[in-house]
Amino acid sequence: MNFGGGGGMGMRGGGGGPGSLMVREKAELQSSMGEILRRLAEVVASQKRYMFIALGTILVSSALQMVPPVATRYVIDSLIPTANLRMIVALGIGLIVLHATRYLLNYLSRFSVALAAQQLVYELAQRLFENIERLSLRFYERNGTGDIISRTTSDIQVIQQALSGGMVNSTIGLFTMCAYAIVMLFLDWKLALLVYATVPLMIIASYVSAEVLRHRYLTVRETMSGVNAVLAENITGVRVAKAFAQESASTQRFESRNRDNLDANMSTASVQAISTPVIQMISALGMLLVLWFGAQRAMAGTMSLGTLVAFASYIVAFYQPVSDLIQINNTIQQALAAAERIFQFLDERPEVVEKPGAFDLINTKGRIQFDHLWFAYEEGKPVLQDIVVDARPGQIIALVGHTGSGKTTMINLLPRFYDPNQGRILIDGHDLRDLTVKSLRANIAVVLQETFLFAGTIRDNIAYGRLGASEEDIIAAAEEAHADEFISRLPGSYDWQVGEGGTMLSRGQRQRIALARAILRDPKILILDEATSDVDTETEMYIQQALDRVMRGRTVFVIAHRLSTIRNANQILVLNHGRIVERGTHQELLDQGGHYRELYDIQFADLAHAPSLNGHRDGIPSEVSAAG
Amino acid sequence: MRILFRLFQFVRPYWWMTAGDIVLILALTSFRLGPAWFAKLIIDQAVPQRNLHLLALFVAGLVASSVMTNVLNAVETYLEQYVGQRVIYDLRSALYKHLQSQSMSFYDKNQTGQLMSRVTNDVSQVQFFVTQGVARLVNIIVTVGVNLTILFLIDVKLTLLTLLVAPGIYYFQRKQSKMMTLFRQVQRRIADLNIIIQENVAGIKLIQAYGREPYEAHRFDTVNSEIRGMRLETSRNFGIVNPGQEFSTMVSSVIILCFGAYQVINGHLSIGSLVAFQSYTLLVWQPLRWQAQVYQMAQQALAAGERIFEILDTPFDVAEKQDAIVLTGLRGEVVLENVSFAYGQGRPLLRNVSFEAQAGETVALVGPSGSGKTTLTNLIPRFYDVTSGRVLIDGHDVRDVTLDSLRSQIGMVLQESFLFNMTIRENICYGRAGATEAEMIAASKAACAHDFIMEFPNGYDTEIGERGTRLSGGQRQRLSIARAILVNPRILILDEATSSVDTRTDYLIQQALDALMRNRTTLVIAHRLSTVQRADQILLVSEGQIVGRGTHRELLATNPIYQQLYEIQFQLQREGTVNDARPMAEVSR
Repeated sequence: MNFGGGGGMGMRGGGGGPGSLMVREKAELQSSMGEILRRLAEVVASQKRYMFIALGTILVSSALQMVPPVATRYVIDSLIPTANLRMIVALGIGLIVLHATRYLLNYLSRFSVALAAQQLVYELAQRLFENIERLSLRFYERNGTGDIISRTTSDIQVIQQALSGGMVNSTIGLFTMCAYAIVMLFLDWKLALLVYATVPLMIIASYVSAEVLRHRYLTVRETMSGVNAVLAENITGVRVAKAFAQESASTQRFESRNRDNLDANMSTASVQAISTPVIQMISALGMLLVLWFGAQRAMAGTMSLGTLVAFASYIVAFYQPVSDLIQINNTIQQALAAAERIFQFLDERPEVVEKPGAFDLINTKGRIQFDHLWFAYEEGKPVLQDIVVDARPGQIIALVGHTGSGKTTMINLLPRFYDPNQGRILIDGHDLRDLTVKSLRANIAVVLQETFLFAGTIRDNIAYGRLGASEEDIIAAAEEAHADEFISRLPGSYDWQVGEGGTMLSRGQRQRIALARAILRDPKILILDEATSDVDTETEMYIQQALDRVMRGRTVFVIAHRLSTIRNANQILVLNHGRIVERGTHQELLDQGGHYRELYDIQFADLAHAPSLNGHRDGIPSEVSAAG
Repeated sequence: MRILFRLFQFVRPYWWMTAGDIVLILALTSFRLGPAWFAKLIIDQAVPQRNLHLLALFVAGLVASSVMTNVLNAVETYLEQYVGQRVIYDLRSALYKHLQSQSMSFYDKNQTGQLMSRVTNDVSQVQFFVTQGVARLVNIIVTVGVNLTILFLIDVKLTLLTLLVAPGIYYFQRKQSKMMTLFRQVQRRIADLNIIIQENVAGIKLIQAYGREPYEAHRFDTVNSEIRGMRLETSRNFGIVNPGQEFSTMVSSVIILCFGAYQVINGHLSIGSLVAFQSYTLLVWQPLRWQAQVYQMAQQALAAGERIFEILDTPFDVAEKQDAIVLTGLRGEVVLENVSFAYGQGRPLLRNVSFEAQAGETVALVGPSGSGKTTLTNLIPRFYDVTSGRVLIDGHDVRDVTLDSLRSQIGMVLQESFLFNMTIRENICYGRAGATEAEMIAASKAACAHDFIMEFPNGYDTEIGERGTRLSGGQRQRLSIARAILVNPRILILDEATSSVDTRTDYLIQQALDALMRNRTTLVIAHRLSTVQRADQILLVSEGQIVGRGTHRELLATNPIYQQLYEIQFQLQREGTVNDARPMAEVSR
């Protein structure tokens, strides 16, 4: 939106644009322009009524603009020579009424456009948000977080700006220009044609400067995000910089980014310093033509003085929309690119879809079977191969294996974040794909390694497990998760506001909140990605106790890192490159002396076998039980 | 006003350019009067006299004045930006340097986001004012003054009548500046919406697992529709303000046309003057419209300037002495003498802590979280200054030596491995930029990092992405260990991480740490049984005091607090579960 500054005094510089903008401008339009326009038009068509009102009012208002130049000529040519004062007064009143009418019409047009535009943007944002909420995890892996966020935020903003600002202004500008062009033709067609001849010059100059500036602005934004990146990194990493005594090197790095930004700003400024005067020179050229030829024709008596004055008075107003239109071209280009990216996301369909005849899963016992299941993220690269598992109700199934062996993928298939490529998963004998997603997930609670907390109160975060849970239930769940005692010590207790990402809480505390959340849900099936993160000893004990309690009476799939968990497991599945290579209880597997034994030795040797004071592990001790 | 004055201190190095800029604005304003005046002459003299010669002269004058206007305009714009952009550059650099030199306690008090916004947003706010606002302010005063004078000279009555519109223009302008507030409110709500989106993208797995999509959609809708409402309100106001300003301007031109015609009929005014009058009036209105904008900019710049100077005025907590000596050839002996520490006037976090670490010794710090272990380690590289007592390195008080020489001989491996958005090579060589390729590779090998680095297609030249997001937690840790090894510090401070990495990685990290600790004085915040068992000295920290010291065996035999801690912490590691903890005696055997 323009805040009134016109001509050479428009907003310059523009230092601090967000970095995401450049991504948007760099992206080439993929699908055909026509296709995007058609779809945009479809969206806009839903607001036809307001659009017609807007168009109508703009049309009338522009037409009215043709009157003042004619009136000027009339005053000078007819009223002044005849000293017709009454007519002058009447004309004055008439003109003021005309301008008042235009004011009203302009208000109406802007307001109706706003009504339509805001509704459209609102709907578009809502649709986009709801759609990405439904999409499968695969979508989130394919598209980076940054990309998803920038499409749902800045791309929507670009559309909103184009719809409410750019489009209106360009339509008004176009109509205004036409109105002046027509009235000039009416006043004196020869002079009008002469003025028209300068329009291409204006278009070329405006276009070139807009293009050059667009690229320079891009550099300004890029360099600015460079400044921001160094800044953010060095503020978060200040401890490291200090620890390594690298402040001066980091200052140099910042200075060079800062210098790049200065250079980019100056290069933009130098283009602006030249382009604005050049464009103004062209409108001065128009004035020159009007006065030179107009005055000669007035002398020759082939044109009235009034016509000359009218031309001289309105020539500047005629040029104004030309350069504005070029600037708006950028806005529209950006809006189209943004629209394309938004449509791409709107077109995404969730890969996990519910069958038409899906039924609800009720009274689950919690038996889970993996039936010769295969899964791949990419064609030809199976992540899980021929997985067969039978978990009886109430059993604890521990998954162990190296990073990338397929543990996480296995547990992601249970709540149907993905569907298997081959084989199936059965709950109480029902294929997951025959069940409604909602009822399936209602029976499952997931506790992830990285505890995610939403901005809100502690209560909200626990109640996330079961909407509408009573206060007693929430507190009971927190107690069971050993979270109640630290929560009650927080100011405001359960009403304490969790910061973004839960940063004010320790990891151990966050984990316990996640556990309380899962407990409140009271699921038959629990999926656990055990975290062995840095918590102090007391917390560790609490978490352990809480876990033991939570697992009781539920079918549990756990990616295990704790020895105690593994020991308590009914079945341990050892995964290697997507296959189950060993299975059994802790003792059975230890005795087998295979993969599990090896893993166990590496992971728990340190804990079970106490090395001597200066000894360090050159070899892996073979006797685990040789403790003490 | 004081803030404005201080802001202008930054302009001072460029004062002659600024002065030149003001002179240019004056010249520009005079030349800008030209075209309308020559148009008047053409209409009043050349046409009635049918004098082609005169016409050519006047048209030439018109061209000359308009060329001059535009040339001066170009130079003025460039000059104004030249000064403004440099002032911003200087301001930003000053701010950054100041931030870099602040001690850790400053960073504890200020959030990252806040500091970021000082250097970026606040500086940008000042930027608009410094690059455009000042020049515009001068422009407004000069343009309005000169044009108004001319208007009065042409026709006093007509001018007075035209000025009747001024309150209208002023009214709409005020309304516009008030709308800026509304606009900011919208921006704030949009930020809220963005937070929801970010949260949803980050927590999508949880949302889907808990089937909370409808709830989230509703949450989004609440803010989204609120924004729609607020934007409508802004648009409605814009609908009033923008056409309103146009309306006022148009009314003034109607007044000029009609009353001007009356004056022409009465012989007080020529037709040419009437045309010129119209042009000059527009030149008065235009800057008046900017005035609101400049006022807004000044307001924002003052607020931002205040925040910037607040930072620039924060004194350094940890400052180098004038005659600080350069610490060289360190043996690595660390001594704390009766050290107490508190943040400002707060509760003491360390009380009368004393210990001695001989060169090459490993000192393990154990104790519950919040007991002061981290605080203690932070005093050695002088991230903070002690409240009382002394920290001595090879007998030198850390306050007597230069910060650079002190810190370059201390290596730190923190729990959260922080990496910079550079290549792997640059990250490893962060502490010693001049290291050779062979040294770097040796360090990486010692840190068990070489193999995984070589697996990347670009090896050591791999860009690791923002904060090392392209690497796993275990890989990040090993890189930060390699970084510390390469510095080859005499003193090592280690915050042992027992984070979530898989078993093999964990093993590799442990090996890397062993390599790093060898032959150095090491202070380690210990979480592992093996570490405390190997330590030459264990300091048991509780509530800011050392409540026990000795070797693992000694403490286990004599110190009940240590016994308790051991039972909870290490039994768990050892036995795997709390339930079947074996009796103490058996373990300590």
